[in-house]
Amino acid sequence: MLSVALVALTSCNSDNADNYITATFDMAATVSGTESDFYSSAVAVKIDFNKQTGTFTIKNIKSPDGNTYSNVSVEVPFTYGKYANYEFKASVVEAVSGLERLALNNFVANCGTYDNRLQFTLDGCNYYFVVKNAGFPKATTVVTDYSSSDSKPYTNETTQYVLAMNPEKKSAILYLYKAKFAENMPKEFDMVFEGLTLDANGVSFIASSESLEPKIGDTPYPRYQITDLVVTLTAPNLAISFTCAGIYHVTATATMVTMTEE
Amino acid sequence: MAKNHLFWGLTRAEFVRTFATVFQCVIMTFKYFFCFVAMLCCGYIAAAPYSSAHVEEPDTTLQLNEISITAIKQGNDIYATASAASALNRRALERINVSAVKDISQIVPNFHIPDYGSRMTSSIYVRGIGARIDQPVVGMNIDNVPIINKDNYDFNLLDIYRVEMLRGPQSTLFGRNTMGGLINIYTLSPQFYQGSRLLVEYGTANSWKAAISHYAMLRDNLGIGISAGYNGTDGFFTNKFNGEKCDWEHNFSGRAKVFYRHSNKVSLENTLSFSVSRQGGYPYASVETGEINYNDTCFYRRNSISDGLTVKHTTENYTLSSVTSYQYLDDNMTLDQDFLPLSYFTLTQKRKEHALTQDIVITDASRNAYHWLAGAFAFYRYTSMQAPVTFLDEGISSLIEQHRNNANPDYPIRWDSREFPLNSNFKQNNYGFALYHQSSYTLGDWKFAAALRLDYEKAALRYNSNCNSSYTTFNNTSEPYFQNIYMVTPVVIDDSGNLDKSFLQLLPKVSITYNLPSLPGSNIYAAVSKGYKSGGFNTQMFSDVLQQKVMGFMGIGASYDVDDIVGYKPEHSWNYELGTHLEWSEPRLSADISAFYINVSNQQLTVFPEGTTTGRIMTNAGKSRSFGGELSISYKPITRLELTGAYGYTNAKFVHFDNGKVDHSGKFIPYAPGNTIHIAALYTLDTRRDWCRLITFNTRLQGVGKIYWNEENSLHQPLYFLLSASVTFANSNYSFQLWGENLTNTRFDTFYFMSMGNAFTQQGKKLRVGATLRLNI
Repeated sequence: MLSVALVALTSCNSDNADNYITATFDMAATVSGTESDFYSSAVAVKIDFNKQTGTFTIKNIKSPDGNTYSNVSVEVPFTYGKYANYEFKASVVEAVSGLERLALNNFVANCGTYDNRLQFTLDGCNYYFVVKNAGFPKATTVVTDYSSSDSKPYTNETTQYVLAMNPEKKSAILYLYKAKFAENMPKEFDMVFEGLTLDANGVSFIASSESLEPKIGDTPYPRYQITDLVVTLTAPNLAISFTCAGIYHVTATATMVTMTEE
Repeated sequence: MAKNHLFWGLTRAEFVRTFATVFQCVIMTFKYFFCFVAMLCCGYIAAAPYSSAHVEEPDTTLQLNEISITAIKQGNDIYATASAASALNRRALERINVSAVKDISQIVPNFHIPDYGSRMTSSIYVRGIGARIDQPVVGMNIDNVPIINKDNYDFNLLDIYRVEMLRGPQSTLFGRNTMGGLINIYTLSPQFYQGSRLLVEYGTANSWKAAISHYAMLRDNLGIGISAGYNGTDGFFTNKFNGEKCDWEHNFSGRAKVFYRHSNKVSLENTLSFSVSRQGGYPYASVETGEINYNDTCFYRRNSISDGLTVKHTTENYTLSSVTSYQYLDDNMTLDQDFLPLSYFTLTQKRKEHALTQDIVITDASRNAYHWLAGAFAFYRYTSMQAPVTFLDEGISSLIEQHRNNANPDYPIRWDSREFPLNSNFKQNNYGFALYHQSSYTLGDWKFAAALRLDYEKAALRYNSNCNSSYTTFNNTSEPYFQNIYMVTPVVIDDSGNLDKSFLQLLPKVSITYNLPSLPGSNIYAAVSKGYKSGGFNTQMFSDVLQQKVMGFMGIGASYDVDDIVGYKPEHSWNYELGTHLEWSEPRLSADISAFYINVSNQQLTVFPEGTTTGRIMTNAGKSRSFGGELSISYKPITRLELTGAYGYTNAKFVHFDNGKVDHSGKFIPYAPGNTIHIAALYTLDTRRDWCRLITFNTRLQGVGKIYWNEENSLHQPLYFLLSASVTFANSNYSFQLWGENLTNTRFDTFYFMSMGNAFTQQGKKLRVGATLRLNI
């Protein structure tokens, strides 16, 4: 299963005397109006079950003109989602950064097991924050064997993905758990794709690599060379495409949502 | 052949004279031996009122031990119960040379106990239901004591007075793991047998047996019985690798029984027994080569001690009985797990086990139409086990290195040592309580009975699996190969955990019996009952879990949920039965006929996992059903001639068995035979001579099959027959028997399994002959 350390918001501890829970997420942020400017941030959330609100403290908000707002605090009401998550929504909410007041428009946030993100508009720019280690437990992977003209695509729904982003280094690592590319593969592998180039377009994060040697058990596997890898994260969804060993074309769609809809 | 001629043209008189001359020579030879043995026994000589050569005792005579608690639960006459039952007394057991429980196979219809493996393997199949490991489907009581561990079922039957086999669920009165039936074994007691007994036997493969016992009433109300025995054999099967017999064995056993009658109302009996077994065992031959050929050690060693105290208190209104037991088992099974002449891996299972049982039964002693019985049962069992699987050179090379390096030849690995263990240690605590009640009402010739048992059991497992090894990864993308070290990876595993399961069962039984007024001792019955085989943990699967963890270090292992793989649920059955016990006094004919239908849910099956793994697993395979019939006949047309026959038919199939990869629904259940056949003829000749009063000729034909070896039903053992015969010379003090088994040297297999993609079988024993001398002093 997803072994990369993820900070997850756990359920309410109703025995807590203060009746609140807190969590801090390392996040990657991208801003519309920029083509490749994205950065690391941290967001702390304190959920108060008495007041039914969540107080977000955003470590830094960078605007395209170079301004940076630090420790931006905003309180937003929440409702319970159907996936044991907390959904925050406000059309306009006042945030405080030191002595400054900021108006955050169209504030939307989600805190759940894997799906932790927030977005808002400030000074006409759209901001998207996603956890830097984004886990996708629900995925559908389709593999087409190019070496055989009459083979049917192989589909599996057991492979899971984690995208670990480093905005400062503009790099990313993609982790695959229980990877299986053919029905007759005897074992499932845990694979690591290192050295991806990370980019962002103001809405999505894009990790890519023209060619890399995947690692299994910390050991390179040149035989399974990965080429034309593109990973697109538009929270809460992930889209992946690559070719393995020159003959297996893999596409996958995944989501951060873990529970099935009733 | 002319009317007055018997064999080879001899007249009757000529035959008798010739035979008498030959026999006199044989007796003279042994006469000196008799005297020597008698001198050894002179300290124990006592009156011997009971003789094994007593001609008037029929096999079906019921002379149950007064202190038998099973008789209290079932009634003194098992043929009067609403249950299919068979019984063998001591004379019958000695005549067919029964020395172990496995020898009773097929004599009872639909009762199959294949002889394979070692004394630890006691796989019993009844009406299509059976089990190879972990919990049994057939319970065993020895002198009222329920044997807690199935691995202790196979022991030397020394001075056995009677063996009963009850088919169909006995769970309501006898509880856990009697879903298929119950075997009751009663040993000689000084309260009704006094004297000294001596046995010496020799047979094929240098097979020896010797036993000595003495039973005496020291006072009117105090009796003691002591017995000791040995049996051993050089073995029947040769391991080609070292040219030695692999199935040798030596077994020692002993028993001390004390009977004390405190008063007319209170009596007790204590039985202390021990058993020591040492054997090679496991003569498994490769199907491909037909040879037994493995290089690593296989053996089974077992020490066991058991003490059972039965106390009975009888009043005018009720009888209160208590059975308390302590059972100790200490054994070691070590196997060349691949059974090949290559060093793949070995398995050791060392175990120490302590168990306590307590059964209290109260039954009303009135002669009313309404009769009741109630009881309580409890047990506790503690097991400590070490079960390492040791990977050896070939195993490391082909199961780990080759497997891994085929996937990545550019960065191959080499294990840093050519031998390493995957250690598993377990401590198990099992305990349970049960309350049961049975009521019956007799209305004229009709008897209505209902019983219910509430049974609770808890199983707890503490485990630790560990491994400490390492491997080196080389960069072979350029020369020199296996010189450039990429990295060294330590493989350190230390997993511990606790698992527990509890089971609560309600086990009912209802029956109707109609006594046939025109045929005394005969009845017709119908019964519906629920059976139960408890769940638990299959510790053998831990080796596979560990192996996957080791492979996980290389990124190619499967992750197992331990509880899902190791734990298994209880199995249940509903048994519907119709039967009849019929007795005619003239002619002397008795017949037992039954038909049954069984539904089994959550059936526990033993399978080997796919691929090259080390342990077997238990799965709850879904549902199955079994139907069939049984017929047992005993006929004595004249006093000297007795004919017996038993036939069992079982059609047992999976109703639903889908393991997620293959659907075996509709296939026959493996290892359970479709037919069991037993036909015997016994002729007794009264010579009217004191030194040899009786000559008994006995012939038996046993058949079993078809047996499917796998769930796919792609392999099977066809129906086969074994012919045995014996001739016994006896008077009141001795019997001398010449016997032969499998006289046609039939070739058959008793067991089949797959391991690491290789198929193995165990062949049944070939032609064997021998002689047995018994003395009663």
